[in-house]
Amino acid sequence: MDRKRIAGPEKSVVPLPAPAPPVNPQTARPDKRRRDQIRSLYTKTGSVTQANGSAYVEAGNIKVLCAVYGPRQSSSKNSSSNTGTLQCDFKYAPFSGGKRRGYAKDDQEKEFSLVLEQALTPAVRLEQYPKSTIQAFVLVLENDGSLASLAAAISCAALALANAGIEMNDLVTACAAGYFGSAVCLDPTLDEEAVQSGAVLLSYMPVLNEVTHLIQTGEIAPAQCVQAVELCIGACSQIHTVTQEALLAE
Amino acid sequence: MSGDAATGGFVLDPDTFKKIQPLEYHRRFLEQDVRADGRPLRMFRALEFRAVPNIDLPALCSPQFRPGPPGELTQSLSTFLEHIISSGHIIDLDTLCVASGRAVWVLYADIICLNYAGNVLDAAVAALMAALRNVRLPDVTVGEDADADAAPVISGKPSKPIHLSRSLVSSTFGVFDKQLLLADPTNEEEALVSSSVSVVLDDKDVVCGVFKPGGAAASKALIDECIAAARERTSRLVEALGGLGK
Amino acid sequence: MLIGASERDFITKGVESGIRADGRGPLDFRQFFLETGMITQASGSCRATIDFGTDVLAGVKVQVGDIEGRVDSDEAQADGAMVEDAGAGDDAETGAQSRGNVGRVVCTVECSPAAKSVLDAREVDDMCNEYSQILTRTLNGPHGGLDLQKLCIIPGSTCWVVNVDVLILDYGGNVLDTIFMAVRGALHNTRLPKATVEQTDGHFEFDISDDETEILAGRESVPVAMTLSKIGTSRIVDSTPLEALCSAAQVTVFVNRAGNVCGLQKSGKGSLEPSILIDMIETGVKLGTELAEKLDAVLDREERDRLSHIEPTGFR
Repeated sequence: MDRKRIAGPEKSVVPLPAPAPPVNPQTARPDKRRRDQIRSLYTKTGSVTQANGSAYVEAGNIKVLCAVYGPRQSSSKNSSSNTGTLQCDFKYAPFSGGKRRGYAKDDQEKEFSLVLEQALTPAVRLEQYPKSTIQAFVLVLENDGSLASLAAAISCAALALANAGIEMNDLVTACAAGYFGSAVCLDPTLDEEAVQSGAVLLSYMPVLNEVTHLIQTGEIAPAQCVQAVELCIGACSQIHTVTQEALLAE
Repeated sequence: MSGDAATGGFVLDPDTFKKIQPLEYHRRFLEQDVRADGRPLRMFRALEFRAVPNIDLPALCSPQFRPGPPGELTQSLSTFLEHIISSGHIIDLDTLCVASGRAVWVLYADIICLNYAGNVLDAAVAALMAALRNVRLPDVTVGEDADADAAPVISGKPSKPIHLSRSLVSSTFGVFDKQLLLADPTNEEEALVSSSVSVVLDDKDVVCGVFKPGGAAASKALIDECIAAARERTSRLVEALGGLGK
Repeated sequence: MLIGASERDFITKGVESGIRADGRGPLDFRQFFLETGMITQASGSCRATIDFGTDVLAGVKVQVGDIEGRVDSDEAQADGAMVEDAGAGDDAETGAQSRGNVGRVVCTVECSPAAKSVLDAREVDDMCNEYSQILTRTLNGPHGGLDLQKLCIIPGSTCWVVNVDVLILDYGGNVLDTIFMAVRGALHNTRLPKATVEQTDGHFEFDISDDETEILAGRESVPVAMTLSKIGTSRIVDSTPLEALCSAAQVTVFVNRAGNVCGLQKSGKGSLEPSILIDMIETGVKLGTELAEKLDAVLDREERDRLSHIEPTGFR
């Protein structure tokens, strides 16, 4: 038992939701979006004054905050290399989803931290920061779709890195899509995610026209897979216009 | 209560007996049709509501914090919050009962600092009070049989807010050079003061708690000065907000 | 491992002209060998070797275990404030099972000291963790091919847990694909003891047979991994260690016999142009389906040999 935090009673249960009509995004999405429509974005930079750079992104109900610290001097075991390292930390707030999450990192958060690193590393010019570490901390305040929140987190972290003045090749943006039967819907919400048969997360550098990261789960015909990839790339370019504006507004 | 005749008849006090022979200890009571804590056999204890506050200062909010388990400051802040909420009786117990004797709401209050610029306690208390006012408890129906594992189901009826019997305001002061009081210290000032004192008052000017985590000793006069200054600030705040809403 | 600038240039220019250092074409595989059933203590085993290259051993051990609610780590549960979710939803990314009537597959990848000496020590642990995650994610869930519902013994309480342990014996490039070949072979070779369930007054009891066994349902739909590495402006499959050093970005396509994509993973510090990415996905699907057919032919032959009591030669 974690003695460093106030613990609740041994057993507490979340009440079951009232029975709701089933969600079927193949026919109609609950929030009436088109299949290829992403949620509208709101971005703001610089809210964490203590950090070297920060950004806040909202997409529908998803709320993500990222703070960047660095470049800091690397610990001794990393200091022998001539390129810097990027360390990403992904965390859901305990109140971010329907079920309260603990403070310790679980497997999903560790996996997502790795995905963040893999998506952002190709864009950051780490050779300009030898023997240094750049740390990006992401906190999801409200989760409406785990992959969609991760996509928002990637875009948010890229924005925070730019706000911190870290040299980059391009501003990374990311988008998620879900498979529903033979249909592909962009930016699935938590309700839609519960009924999807697979999902895709793609991270993209719009100006250089290069994909930095791609991950897909679930079984899908190759043609649909390619369609999902193309849809995500299109959406990433849209997201880029919004995030770029946030930087220009500074 | 004397020991078993078989052990040769030496006398044990009840606590020791309970430790060595717990089963026998309870059996002696049950023989008289009563339980060790005085209750009749079938009676449930009155369920007390729990509020579980936790403050988190993640690595995100400041360069001085690293990822990992909470440090001493965070732990003491969380414990202080738990004290003032539970002993302060700020929430009406009736609004939190779901089915008397069987189910009661537990409120998990997780306070996460997003940007640390000094004086996290005042902001945390303000955030906690605002969040508590914002709480809406869904209307639930608990299953009829006393199956402890069955989850209650949210019915379609509208959710209700909880009733707060008092509102708390926290005022923190840094003690500079052992005499000067700096209200609401920034993190630069926090590093320089010799100690800090936080006074938590409710909307009726009653002191609900004083938090002075270590640091240089403060005289009674100094603490009284803090309380007076806190009272002044709270009354100004209450006036400005037109009475802290319930 | 290090590579000189001129060597890198030599390999890159060669690949762009369609020729590789060992004479293969860009989409040619090295010859591979599969052997199954050499570890008699395991429920299933398979060793996959690429000629003069990577050597991977996979062992499967099935055991009876409890059906889990949500897969949470030990640390999270130690927080003491875990809230039980009475109706959890599925998590597509990590494949956590929330319905109470499926078994699960737990995978671990480790590197033997011999292979570790060739690879960079710091990267080995990360690589093994990543591959373990990829394996577990790919095999749990309907896209993994295996019929996890058939692994359920008593709905809501007991199920078969398939433990897959992979050991990398030697490194010669293209490890992930070889791992999947070995795992697929081991799952094909796995024999599950028959479990009979009796119901008496609403109380379930099960009995595990000592002699009767059955194959894992859905083993022919387990996907294969096809990794394509981008070198210069072209792409290759089955990279050697030197070629791997010249490649900044790789795409692994997980394909099953039906030709459907069961997973995609891009790795490496470089980035890919969309048209190249899509080309790699389509090529991966085509080659992966062919590989799956070839593998199944070898595995079926192994199984026939086993049934006619031809002993495996084991470790040559």
